[in-house]
Order: sequence, then C-alpha cells, then structure tokens
Amino acid sequence: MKKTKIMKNTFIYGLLSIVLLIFLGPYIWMFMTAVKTQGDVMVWPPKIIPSEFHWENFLKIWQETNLPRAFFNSFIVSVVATAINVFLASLAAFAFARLKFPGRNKLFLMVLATMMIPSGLMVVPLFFMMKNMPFSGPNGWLDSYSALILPFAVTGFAIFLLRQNFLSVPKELDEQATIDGCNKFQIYWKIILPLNKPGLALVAIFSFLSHWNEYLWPLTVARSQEMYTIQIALKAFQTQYNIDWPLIMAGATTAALPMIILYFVLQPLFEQGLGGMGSTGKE
Amino acid sequence: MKVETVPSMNVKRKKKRELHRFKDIAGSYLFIFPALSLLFVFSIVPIIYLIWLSFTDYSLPNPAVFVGLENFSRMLEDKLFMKSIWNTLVYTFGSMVLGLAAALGIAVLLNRKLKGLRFFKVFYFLPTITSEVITAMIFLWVFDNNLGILNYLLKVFGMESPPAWLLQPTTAMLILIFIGAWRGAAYNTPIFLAALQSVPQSYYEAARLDGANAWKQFLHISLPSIMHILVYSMVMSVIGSFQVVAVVDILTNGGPMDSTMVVIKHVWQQSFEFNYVGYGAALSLVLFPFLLFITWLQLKLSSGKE
Repeated sequence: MKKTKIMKNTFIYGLLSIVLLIFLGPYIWMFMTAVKTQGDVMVWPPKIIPSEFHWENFLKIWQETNLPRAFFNSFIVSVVATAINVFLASLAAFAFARLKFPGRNKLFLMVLATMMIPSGLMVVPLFFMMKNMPFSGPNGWLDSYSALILPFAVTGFAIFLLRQNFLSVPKELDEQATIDGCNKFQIYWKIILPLNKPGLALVAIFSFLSHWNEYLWPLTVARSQEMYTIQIALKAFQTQYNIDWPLIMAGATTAALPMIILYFVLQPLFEQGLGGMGSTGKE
Repeated sequence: MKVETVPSMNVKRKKKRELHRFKDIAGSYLFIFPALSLLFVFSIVPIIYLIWLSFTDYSLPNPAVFVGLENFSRMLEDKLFMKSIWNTLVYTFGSMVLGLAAALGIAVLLNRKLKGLRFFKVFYFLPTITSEVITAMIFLWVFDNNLGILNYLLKVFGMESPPAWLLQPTTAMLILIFIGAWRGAAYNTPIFLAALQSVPQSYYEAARLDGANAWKQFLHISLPSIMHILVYSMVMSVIGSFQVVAVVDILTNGGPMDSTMVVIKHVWQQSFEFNYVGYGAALSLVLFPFLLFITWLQLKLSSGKE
C-alpha cells in the first residue's frame, strides 16, 4: 500500500516537472541565449548553457538601443493610468455602492455596458478621435502621453469589482462615522478605502499589467520612436536586429524582467486575486 | 403669533432640507463624474463615431465622404476578410480546446495534498504576466527552422528533416494555436484549481464509499461542480483569442500565404497601412455584434453565479 503511494507520488511529481519544463523552458532558453555571443548560437550541436556568460548584450541594449526610453514611457503610462483607475474608479464605485442619487442604476448599467466593448474594434474610431482632438496641435493627441494613457485608463471592470468589494463593508460603519461628523469624502477616504486594500491592489496590479503589456493601442498612436512603449520598441528592435538572436533575447529578457520581479514580490496578492478572477470577470 | 411662526419655520426647514438634498445629490454626482465622463468619451462616443465612419470613404489626408453601403458591399468580395475570419475561428477554437483541456489536467494534478506544489503553481503562472510580444519573440527563436532548439531536439530524437515550422501554412497555424494554448493553460490553471478546491470533500468520500474510482469521481463530481467556471472560461477565451494580433505580428506577420491572417490584423492593415479608414471601420462594425454577444453571454454567466 505504502509503496504504491510512493510510486504514485513520484509519477505525479514527474508529470508536474514535465509541465514545468513546458512553461519555464522557453524562459530559460531565452535567458541562456541572451548571455551568448552570436558565434555561440551558430555552434552545432547547440549548447544549452554557454561556456562563458556574456553580459555585454544587456549593456548594448542599455547604451545603443531605444529600449531604455521605451521603458521610461511604459513606466509613465502604466503608473499614471493605474493611479487614475484606482482613484477615479474607487470614487465612482463608492457612489454606486453607498450613495443614493437619481439615475444611479441606469448609470451603473452603462458602466457594465462599457465592459462588453471589445477594445480591438475600438482602435479605428479612437485613433481618429485622438487625431481630431480639439484644443490641440495639427495631429491632435497622436504621439502623446495623453493618447497612450487616457482612453483605456478607467475601466468598467474596476468600478464593477470595487463596488462589489465596497458593498461588503457593513453600513453601520458609515452611519457611525456620519454621527462622528465625517462627510462623504471622509467616509470614502478614511473608512472604505483602508478596509478594501486587497481589492484596490488587485485593480492596481491588473491595470499596470494590462498597460505594460498592451500592444495594439500604442502601436496605433505612438508615431515617433520617442513615444514608443516597451512592446512597440521591442517589435521594432526585433525587426532591426533580425537574426542577432542573443541581442534580441537580451531585449526580451530585459522587457520581461520588471513584470516577473513584480510578480514574485507581490506573490500573495496575485494568488488572492486569481482565486477571485474566476468569479468576478475580466480585465 | 404662534400661528404665524409655525408655517414660516416649516417653510424655512423645508427650504433647508431641499437645499441639503440638492447638495447631497450634487455631491454624489461629483464622485461619479470623473470616471463616468472618461468612460463615456472613450467607450460610448467611439461606437457612434465608428458607425459614422463605416459609411464613409476616408483616406488621410482627405476628408471623409459619405458613400452609403459601399464599404459593406465591398466586404462581400474581400476574400482576405473571409479567410481571416476562418483563420481566427480555427485559432480560437484550437487554442481554446487545447488550452482549457491542459489547464484542467494541470489543475487536477495540483489539486491534492503534496509537498512543494506551491512551487510548481508559482511558476506555472509566468506566461500570463509575460506580454504577447515577448512570448512571440521567444517562440520565434524556439521554432526557428535552422538554429531553433526544437528542431535540434527533434534531430537528436531521430527525425531527419524536421519541418520549417513557421514557413508552412499548416504548421504556422499549429504553432499559433500552441502559443495561444500555452498562455491559456497558464491563465486558467489557477482559476480551475480554485474551483476544484471549493468542491466539498464529503462528495468524494461518499463516492469512494460507493466504489467510484478516480476517473469516475472526476467525471461525476469534479466536472459537474466546476461546469459553470468552465463555461465562463470558454467564453473568456473566445473573446481574447478573437482579438489576437500581437503574436501574429511578431511570429508570422499573417503569412505564409495569409495562413495566419487574423481579423483584427486585417482591420488594422486596411485602416492604417492601406489607409482605407472607412472600410476598416465597416469591418470593425460587422465584427462588433458577434463579440458583443459573447461578452454579454460572459457577463450573464458570471453574474448568474453569485
């Protein structure tokens, strides 16, 4: 009995390891290529681990390519968009969860409706809205941070998710605070927000992730190299260096690293958030 | 005197109450105004604009000219559009079935009490946080027909001339499906695992007493209990896959011979590369109801569960 159990467990660990290889293998291969020279890559049979680690590819990326600037752009775009989403969506969610005003349900229905709009099909009209934006230059908002940040900053999903969260806070807390002389904004700021940190963190993480990884929208509105976000710069970089695989993989590694680090640092939040993902919706 | 003061006080109080009520409502609107105005301008207005654009002939820098239904009749003769729809459907279906089946299998493997499972779980999720562009770049290298690691391994295992994966229509589509499934499996595994873990243990105990083996337990207990999540994930997967474009751009750029041309890429190309904006808008508009229906279904499913 015990022996079969050990065998069964070994079998399961074996399967899990194969799966691990499928998921993790490509990353290892990416990194191992990034620290090779172009000569190493041509060698047959290929070596998985290079005889010597060459870090100069990373140096080259930092000094000779457009990627650092793109990094900076992506960082600005993701941070600002995330801040806007967390603040504005939570304000709206507070009103939808806690305040009474005419048209509340209809407006919330509109919020839900915006969640259904497929963003890939909105690119054409949004591009021309950016181009024809009033009170701006001849090219409107094209090639600006405003265009990269604002159209997808606030998400209906964030409002929806936070409202669900806020509804679970007991109403007595609000009433007590009102008796103590708090106004609505103070209730929102001092009671509701601190009690819903996990929900807010989840919205923040997914906002950041989706802006950092977004491809089609920046491809459409970032016209000059100076405004490229990291994904667009990577694509251009890959076209430019074509067969210099070590350099391309070094670029990919550099671009993947911030999200990987963020993921490992915020591990508990990711885990918590994903359990809920299945029941709340999409980002 | 008394008779006079009482009504005036009442009026005063009423006025004060009304003012208070007005302030109350105005204050509430202040909370929602910033978020909802952004949503309105960037989500609702573009749809109206899209409808208008789709009835025009618009090529930059010329102004848009109203042409009625011309764009839509042109669509019927656009063979590439039909092909891109077909390709997208094949990709969507293939990557969904493969990805969800893999996710379910992995979730079942992880759903037990063993040491070190958390370690596997943490790494299994990596593809989800990695962008499509980076993913496509890595696989472009893995599947490279000359120097790629896959073809090397295939040669080691005795295959004399492994295929040039990305240069042939069928294999290029298979690779695309594989990558979609790779991402989908990573994304859905924790969702399925959470669902499996919420199935009460007593169900399994009862089944074991009835002599059900592991497979029967899976079929008759696990699967029905997580069916709603499964359906939900299918819908989500369709919405995501239908809008695939980044992976295609990097990996094949729609080729070889348009075998991986997908709808969003076609729309983008028509609008921004060939400068047929009106036509691109019409294409978007035609795809809209379809995706809208799936999204509506998704919302319905996810809210029906609570």
